[in-house]
Amino acid sequence: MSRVLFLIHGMGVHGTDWAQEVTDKLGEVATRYDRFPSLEALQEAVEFVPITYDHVFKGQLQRWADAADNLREFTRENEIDLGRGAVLFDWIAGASKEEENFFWSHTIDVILYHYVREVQSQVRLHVMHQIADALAARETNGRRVESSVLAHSLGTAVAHDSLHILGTVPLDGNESFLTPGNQLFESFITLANVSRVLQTVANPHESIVVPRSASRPRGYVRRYYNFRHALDPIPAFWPFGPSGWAPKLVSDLGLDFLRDVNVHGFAHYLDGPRVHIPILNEVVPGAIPDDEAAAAIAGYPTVGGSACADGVAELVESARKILATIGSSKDPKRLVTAGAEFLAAAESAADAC
Amino acid sequence: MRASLFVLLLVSSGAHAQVGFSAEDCNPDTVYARGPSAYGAEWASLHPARVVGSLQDDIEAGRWGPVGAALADNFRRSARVRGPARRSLQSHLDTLATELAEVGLEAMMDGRGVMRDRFAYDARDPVLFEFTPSEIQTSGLDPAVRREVCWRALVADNVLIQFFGPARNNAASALRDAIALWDEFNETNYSLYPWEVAVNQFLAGSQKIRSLDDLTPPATQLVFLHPGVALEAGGFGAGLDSLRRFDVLTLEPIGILWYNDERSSYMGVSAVVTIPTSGGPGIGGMVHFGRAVQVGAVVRGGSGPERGASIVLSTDVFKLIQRTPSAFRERIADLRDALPD
Repeated sequence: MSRVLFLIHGMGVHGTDWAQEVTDKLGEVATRYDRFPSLEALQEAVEFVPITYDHVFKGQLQRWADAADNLREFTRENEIDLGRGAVLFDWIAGASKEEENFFWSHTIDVILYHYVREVQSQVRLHVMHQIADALAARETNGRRVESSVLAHSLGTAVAHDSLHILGTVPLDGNESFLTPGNQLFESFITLANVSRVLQTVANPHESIVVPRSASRPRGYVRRYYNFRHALDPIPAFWPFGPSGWAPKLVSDLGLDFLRDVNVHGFAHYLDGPRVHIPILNEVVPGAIPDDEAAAAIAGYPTVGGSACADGVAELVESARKILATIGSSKDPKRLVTAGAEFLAAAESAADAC
Repeated sequence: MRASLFVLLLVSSGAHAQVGFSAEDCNPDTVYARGPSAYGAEWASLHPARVVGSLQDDIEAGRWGPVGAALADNFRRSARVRGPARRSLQSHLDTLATELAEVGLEAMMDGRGVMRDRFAYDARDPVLFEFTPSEIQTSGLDPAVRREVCWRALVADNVLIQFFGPARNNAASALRDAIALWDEFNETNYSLYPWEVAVNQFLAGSQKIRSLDDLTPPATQLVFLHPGVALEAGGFGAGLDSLRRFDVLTLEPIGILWYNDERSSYMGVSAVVTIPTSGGPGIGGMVHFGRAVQVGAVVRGGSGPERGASIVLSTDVFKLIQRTPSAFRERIADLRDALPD
């Protein structure tokens, strides 16, 4: 049996090598434990399969930017006056300047995924295809592939929706991925879960992406993990929090460690032993014994890494302000603006270090 | 006589020590890695690798009925497993045999009629046939019984994974085809501005995803307040000498397009307003044939040289510039040369 961990990114710019940072971090944290003397020891036990869909957002933004740019260029060459329309095209053309602000580089992804059905469909198709293709390619000689999903931020919603469709919709009559009975993922691991506030295809508390049990026979996963940092406002919107899933649900919603001022980062989440120990034990059963795990958690200082005192103070203040404004908001639009505010605050805090 | 028989048994069981019973008997990684010979002669013939190997010709030939029957009948002849575990395993093997015997080629290619994960084993719990009335907790079984139950389940699981191979490849292929359809659509469609995306989505209403078709590109597209640029040739009424060319901005207030099944081309109609750099607007209609060229006619009032009927040659401007900028500019240059200012 081979073990596969699908890595699914969140919002932001993600090229083809986006997962390097994540696999490097998983390798680094793994070597803190006896079972993994090297990164290779982890890679021998589990294969990381990065899933990429950011090119769909990039393509859509690029098409709109090209539309505006080319129309402006043509009208300029031909001395056609667009009048007030030019303002509109200037605004659209900004879509391609990803590096200029977090709205265009990060939270626009949330808008496109949540509100634009054409983008939604393409993102889901790409994710479903990459998962289906990877499983089909590895299930040779009748050997079962034990597969898990590790998703971050927007990726939690994308992964949830894609798996729900994969498990419920026949693909041109093909039923080989349908549940119950044809596919079961070992675990679904979420960091900064936003699948509830961004729900479109199904309520994540009631979809098929739930732990399989006698009362939920269509469950698509055996176990579900939900990790949230206390200072991360992004998963605080209408937070994911099902009841009655124990013991197949592991929730840790009060993470408080600071290794970087961007507490929302994929790699930052993985640095904490309360996050990475369950993950490593999930993908490599029994890898970290209880006593070694307890010692690692006890010996992990709350503040460290690149997070300096000034930066931390600034971030904590900003994060608390943003969290206070969220309240019980269920509005995805507010998530977009708060997300941009938070990422800008994290960058400002990083500058203070 | 008895002593010599005992010696013979020892020799036949192999020179090296046999693997003892343990929970690892249910771990496929361990079982396959050790191989049949590690378990001694008595168990080697039941080892999953050995059993699957003996069925491989039928598997590769797609003779699934005999494969399922062999698994069920072979267990029926075994006496080691008794009680609820026997009834449960036999029942699942019989059901598998029935499913495999009845499946047709088309159903096989789609994975229909057979439950793939029937024999999936959760090593952490550890349990077989979880959440069914015939659940088997393997940790509670006699060690030898546990080994046989787990091994027979591993064989059945191996057969099912192989059975589903073509179906899974087909599923991945169907998804790849759907993505290719989007790629084609994105490359060739009549460009949609953000507000057109919003209007089209609004008109489509809420969409339940019931099949792969619900994830593929739309077959119709509403054109709404779509800006563009065009060449307008006017002044037909007074003979060729009076023909004039205008560079105009176009706005299609409303229109509709229909795509072909491959989303590689479309046709449709739209209303159009043309706005020259000077003079009043022209009002008319356009027809769309395919990706790049739209042809229309407009009428303009007023007293200037632009008044009267005109032909409009528009392009889906950014698509064409993006794809064939030189060809586009050459075409414009040709038209300019052909028409007097």
